[in-house]
Amino acid sequence: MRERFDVVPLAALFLGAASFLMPFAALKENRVVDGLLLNGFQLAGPLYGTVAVLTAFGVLTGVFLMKNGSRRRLLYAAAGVVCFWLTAALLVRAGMMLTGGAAPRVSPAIGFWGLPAASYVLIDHSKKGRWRMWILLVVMLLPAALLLAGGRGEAISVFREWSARKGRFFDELIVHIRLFGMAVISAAVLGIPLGILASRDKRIGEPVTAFVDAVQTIPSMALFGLLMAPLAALSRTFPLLRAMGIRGIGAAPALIALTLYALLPIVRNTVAGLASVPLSAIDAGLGLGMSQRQLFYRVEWPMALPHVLTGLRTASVQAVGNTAVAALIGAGGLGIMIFQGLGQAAPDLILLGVIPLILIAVAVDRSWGFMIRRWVSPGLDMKGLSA
Amino acid sequence: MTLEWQNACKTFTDKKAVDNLSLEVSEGELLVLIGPSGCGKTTSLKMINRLVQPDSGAVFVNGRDVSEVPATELRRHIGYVIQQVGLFPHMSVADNVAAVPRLLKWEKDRIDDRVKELLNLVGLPADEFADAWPSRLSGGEAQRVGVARALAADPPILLMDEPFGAVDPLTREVLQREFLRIQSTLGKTVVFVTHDLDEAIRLGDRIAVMNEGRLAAVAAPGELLLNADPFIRDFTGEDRALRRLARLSVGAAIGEATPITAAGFSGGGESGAPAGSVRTDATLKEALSMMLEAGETSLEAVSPAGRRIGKLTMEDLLESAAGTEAS
Ligand SMILES: Nc1ncnc2c1ncn2[C@@H]1O[C@H](COP(=O)(O)OP(=O)(O)O)[C@@H](O)[C@H]1O
Ligand SMILES: [Mg+2]
Repeated sequence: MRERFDVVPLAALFLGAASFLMPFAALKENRVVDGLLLNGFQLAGPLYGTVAVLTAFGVLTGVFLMKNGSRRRLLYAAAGVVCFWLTAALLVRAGMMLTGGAAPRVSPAIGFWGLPAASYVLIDHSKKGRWRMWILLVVMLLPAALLLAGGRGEAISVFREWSARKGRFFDELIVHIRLFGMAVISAAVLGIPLGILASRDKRIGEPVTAFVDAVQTIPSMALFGLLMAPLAALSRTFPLLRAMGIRGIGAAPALIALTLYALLPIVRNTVAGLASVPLSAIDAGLGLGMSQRQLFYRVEWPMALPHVLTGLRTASVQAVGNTAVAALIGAGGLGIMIFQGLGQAAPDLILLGVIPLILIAVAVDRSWGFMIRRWVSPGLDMKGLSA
Repeated sequence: MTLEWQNACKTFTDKKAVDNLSLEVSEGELLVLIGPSGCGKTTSLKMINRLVQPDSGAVFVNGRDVSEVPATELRRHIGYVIQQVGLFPHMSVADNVAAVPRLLKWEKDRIDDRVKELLNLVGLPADEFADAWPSRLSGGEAQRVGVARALAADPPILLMDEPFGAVDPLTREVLQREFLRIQSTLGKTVVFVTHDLDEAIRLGDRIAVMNEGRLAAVAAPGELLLNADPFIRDFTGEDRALRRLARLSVGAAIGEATPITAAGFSGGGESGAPAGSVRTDATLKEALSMMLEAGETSLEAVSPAGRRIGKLTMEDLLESAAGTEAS
């Protein structure tokens, strides 16, 4: 019975339908003026609009009537794909409706966000096998990609911002990925052994946990600031460090701060993972004649792995966002566009930073999910951990 | 292989867990360690494979002080079934059973064959269970895997810490019967910890009763039920006389040595003995029950084949219960 009443995809369906009827995009003559707000129905025109509304009713009725769970999930998948196609189609329609202006553009409004969000949730709830997921993604993205590649996306505001600074955008994107990637790798290289040490020895464990907890309470802005002064001093004192690019601003303090932030979930989860190994398993391992080293590699580590990987996942997703703040101390990254956009009151420029940020975060989260399924023994219970 | 504790003591913080334990186990013997929870059974057991180091005294395996044998080496040659089963949840059933052979670096083919053989031995068809995950097993199945894992490298000594503790009474009886069958072919030297008196009586060649870290008594099951020590009397319970009768066959009471058989368990009635008679392979407890039921003070004793052997009287039962009859 529980299967019959899945609230989340149902809510997503309503969200999709509502998004179609809410303001979808504004047609503007340039970056700063208020434009003409249109909803999906207005953009699609009376004929296609009516078809869309009727389809939505049909799908909702279908979900209520269908008793077969797997067929209902197929319907979610179809609805998710349609929601995504609709987003692309409406954007293109809006682009075609633009009339003149210095830099005419289509600015997304609430409906533009609602439709892909609904699509994401619906697709998420339809998943069965990994292969089907890939096919679904291709089916979903292909028409949208074709439309945009066909030059019809030109008018969309974010693309305008993008085409104005393509080169810069890709540079910052790479800087961003490199920065958060290096931070997570350093945090893992430091944090996992630290977590293992901390769980072996209380005298190490207590100060380590106190330290990583304390770091987490410092706001990221303050932490970047705190690191600037000592690094600047070091750089002045030691020319060698300066030659290596270590200064008060730039990549070095950002990397240190990001690493310190990523440390907490990693250390915490490593400790929790090793603490979760039941005494009976340790007793059994020793009793069967394993050495301490064998016990660790054959029993404790594989059993702690779900926690450890979940910690890495949390740290990575957080680091993607934190890295945006690093732009403030000159480390570069997608944050540049966000803060420039804030400074110039240009929401489209902010979006140019935020949209890839969200996509990277989702991609990183999904990749860890994939790795967790690959590496963690299926005999272990992942309940209570976000798998 | 023989085992011996010599004046072994162990104190945790200020609690004496094991107090001057001296006890020997001979080759091929099944010794049951029994006593109330917290009396030091597990601690005594762990002294043998060096999971616990005695504060004073020593433990000998085959006459050799275990503290002179490297711990991992010692443990790989002593089978160990731990108290909470303790299967490795991230390993398949086959990998759990293969744990010790892998530590001993056996060839892969040899390990595979051995795992199959053992799973079949403990009544878990290898085809069905080898690739199963421990979390999917029932309590009884998990305990069987625990036993198979302990037997994997064919150790001459087996330490079992409440191995059938976490299952329902019916499954427990099945496991006990199967374990007796396995033990009768393997003939290991076994130390078996339990807090269940019926289990101890059913399995033990000898029973060692512990209380507050000290050895209160060691005796064969029949003798233990006659022990006059107040703690032992209390421990064996009000129905100790009935337990004693349950260990003896009708045949033994009338001087015609007969083992108790499974068929004998069903007593006279259904198994073919006419009313007012009892089979010689039934237990005296069943005979008493039949007398009470029929309101008689004597029964005809008949062989399993139905031949009349003699008469079993209430006096025979009283004598047996009092223990003047050799057990
Ligand atoms: N590692 C330990 N640390 C402290 N106390 C222990 C430890 N192991 C056992 N004890 C204590 O020693 C006593 C005997 O324990 P144990 O041998 O496990 O008893 P049993 O197996 O008979 O139930 C108990 O009081 C128990 O609390
Ligand atoms: Mg115990």
